[in-house]
Amino acid sequence: MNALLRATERWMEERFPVGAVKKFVSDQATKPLPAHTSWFHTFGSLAIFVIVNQIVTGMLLMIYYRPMPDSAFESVRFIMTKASFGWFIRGLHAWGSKFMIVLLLLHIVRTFFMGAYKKPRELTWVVGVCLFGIALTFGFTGYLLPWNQLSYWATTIGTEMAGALPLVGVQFKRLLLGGDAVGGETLSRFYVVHVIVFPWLLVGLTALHVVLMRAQGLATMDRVGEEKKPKGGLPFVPHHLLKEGVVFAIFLGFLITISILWPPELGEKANPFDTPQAIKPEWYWLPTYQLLKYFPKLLGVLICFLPPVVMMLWPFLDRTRERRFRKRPISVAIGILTIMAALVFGLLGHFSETDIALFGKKYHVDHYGVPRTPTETPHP
Amino acid sequence: MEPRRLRCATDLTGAVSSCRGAAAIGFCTVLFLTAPRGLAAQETSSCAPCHEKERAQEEKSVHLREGVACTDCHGGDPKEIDKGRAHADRVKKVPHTEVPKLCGGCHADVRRMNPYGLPTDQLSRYQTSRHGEVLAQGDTEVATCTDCHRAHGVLSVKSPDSPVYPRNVPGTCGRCHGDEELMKKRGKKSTAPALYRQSVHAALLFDKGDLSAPTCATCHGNHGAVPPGVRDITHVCGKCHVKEHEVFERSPHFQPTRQGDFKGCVQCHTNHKILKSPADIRKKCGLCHDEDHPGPKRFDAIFARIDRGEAALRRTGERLEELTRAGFHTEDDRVLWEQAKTANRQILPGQHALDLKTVEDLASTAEKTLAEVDRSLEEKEKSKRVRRLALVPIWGFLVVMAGLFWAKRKAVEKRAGSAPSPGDRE
Repeated sequence: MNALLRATERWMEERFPVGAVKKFVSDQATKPLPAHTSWFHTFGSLAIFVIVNQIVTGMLLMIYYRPMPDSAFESVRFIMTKASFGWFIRGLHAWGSKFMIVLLLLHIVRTFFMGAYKKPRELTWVVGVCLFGIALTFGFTGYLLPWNQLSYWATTIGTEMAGALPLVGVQFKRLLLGGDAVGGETLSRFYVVHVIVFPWLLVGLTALHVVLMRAQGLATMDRVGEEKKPKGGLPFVPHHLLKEGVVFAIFLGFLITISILWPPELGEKANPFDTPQAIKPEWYWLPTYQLLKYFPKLLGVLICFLPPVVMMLWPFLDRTRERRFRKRPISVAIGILTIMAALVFGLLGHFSETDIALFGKKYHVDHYGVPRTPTETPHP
Repeated sequence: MEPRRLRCATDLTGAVSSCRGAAAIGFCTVLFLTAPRGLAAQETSSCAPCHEKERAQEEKSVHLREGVACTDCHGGDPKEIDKGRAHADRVKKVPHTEVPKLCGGCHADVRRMNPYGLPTDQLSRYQTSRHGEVLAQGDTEVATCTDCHRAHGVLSVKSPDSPVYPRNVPGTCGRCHGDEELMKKRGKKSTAPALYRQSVHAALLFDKGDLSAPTCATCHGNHGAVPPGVRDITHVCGKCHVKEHEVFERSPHFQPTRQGDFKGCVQCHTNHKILKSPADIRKKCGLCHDEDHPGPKRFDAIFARIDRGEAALRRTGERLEELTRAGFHTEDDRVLWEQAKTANRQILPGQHALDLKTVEDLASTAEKTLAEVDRSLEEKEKSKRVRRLALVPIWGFLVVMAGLFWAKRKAVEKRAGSAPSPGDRE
């Protein structure tokens, strides 16, 4: 057996530099990690685990899914009710998409507050922000596929937002929709983007992100330009990998539990003639959705584009050399304010156009998120 | 040069004259396009300079739109600008008592009303109504056409601003019938509008915006408005409550109703403040029956049966919803549940026969169907429990895996002789 393996290795070595690749992988695996490497450093690899989960469960769902308006909803219902473990696979996929966003957000927050985006890792940060943008758009394209009321009208709102872009808005909206309204053409387009274009893009960019991260090593807490190579630290394999193994096992249990206890609902089939009240996008689009309400269409869209652009360019805007949390108060304050603003707008978006009870009194939260006492209309 | 100048002048003259021609045609066209649509509108506007208030009221009127002029009702000469000459031809404020005949002049004319598809029996209906009778007896304050439809600014009944639009009818009738002083003079109660507002019908009309909900006119009639007689009440209610009316004929209360001893539907439900609650209706039994009488007891038994059926239906419905949300195939169960619901809904009109057996038969049909649904749901709930139980071994396996990874990591650290990384403390 060993002889056969050696022979195969020799055969491969004559045709491909297996040795060099093995050496690179071995060097990266045994590269010592900085002393501050913590449990927080497992968010990125957990996100990769979720990406794998999305790809595997997505492929399984594709076996039964039919991307046509007259059969999409029925095929998802078939998956949920007839296909063996279909409900579970869909649960893992739907919840996985939400967790992917959560983990990417946590990973970005960790990177931001530890100053790990600074020189020489600017490119790794930019690729990471692109990955986050793709994950958000991934969710948007996948949201339409069940072809239920919620997905249909949330996509209508989303594409209307895209249509407000200056200069190219109308053309871009048409490109997304394949017509004037959400229909069969839109479903085909979203399906192709969701199952072919974005997965390849996500895998490619993730690979680039990981290669960049491994090549430069994990950032230390030293000032920019004064970074010392970690000496005597523990290697990635097996120490950090085992740590990730612990987190993976617990996260997997959590994902399975949620998928079993709260499988995603299918709701009612999309009906273009029946607009439901107060339709809202997925939670991670809520801050944008709410922010758009306070500004005229064009200005709102431009304002919503500002945070991702600033985020992308942040390593080039923040030229300070400090990485430590306490030594860069402005940067940290901006980060905290951004998170707070996203939370506030997200909550306003969540509660807008709903009835709530506060201290035993009933209120109707209006379009702008302001709670108002419902006024009784007297009978004429 | 001269001939050329002459030619120029000639050309210019021609151009000027053709310009004048064009201007004249343009002016006429503008006049034609902007001119009022009919003579009637011209007549109205000739009254308008002095009667501004009435003109403003007429703004959206169907009469103005259809060319009915001020002079059609009030007389006078619309072509005269001088007040004296314009009013010479017996211009009058139409006396209240003459309003029905005046309106009937057009509205009872079949030829005139035909194009609009409007009925032409309003005048004759009015004359047979209580309002018409009282008017004939010389009561000059009684409602005529203009009290409900307004004198000026008459709108289509389909217009939400019209006083006779379904939502506005209770208010319109209530103006007089809710006026205590006016009603007192005629020996009538003025409570009907206020009572109506507490009824299930008002809740449908005002709260749910159901324009098909009964208003005053639905039961009393509109032009031929008259309080229905005791014997007719079941027919009035039966116009909408068909099944209840049919079943009531098998009730022990039917014969007394025919004889005029029992007020039919309103005996239990009252007339204006019509309530649905069985608890309120139950109180009415005591007005005629002793508590020992089998009637009220039967009533209690019937409603206990109905409540039991409703509760079972609600319970199964909740289970069905929960299983649907959990991703189970529940469509067949839903169809059966809807069947059970339909059977259960038939009990409410069915109980008007006050026959326990009829109620039992209907309830058992619903119960049998519901039992079938429950059996199917039980299977699914069992499967749901298995799903949840599966979490125990899954978590067991994953915790063991996490523990093994943890132990291996500690062993690696120990072997490497290194202290735990500072990150572990975070």
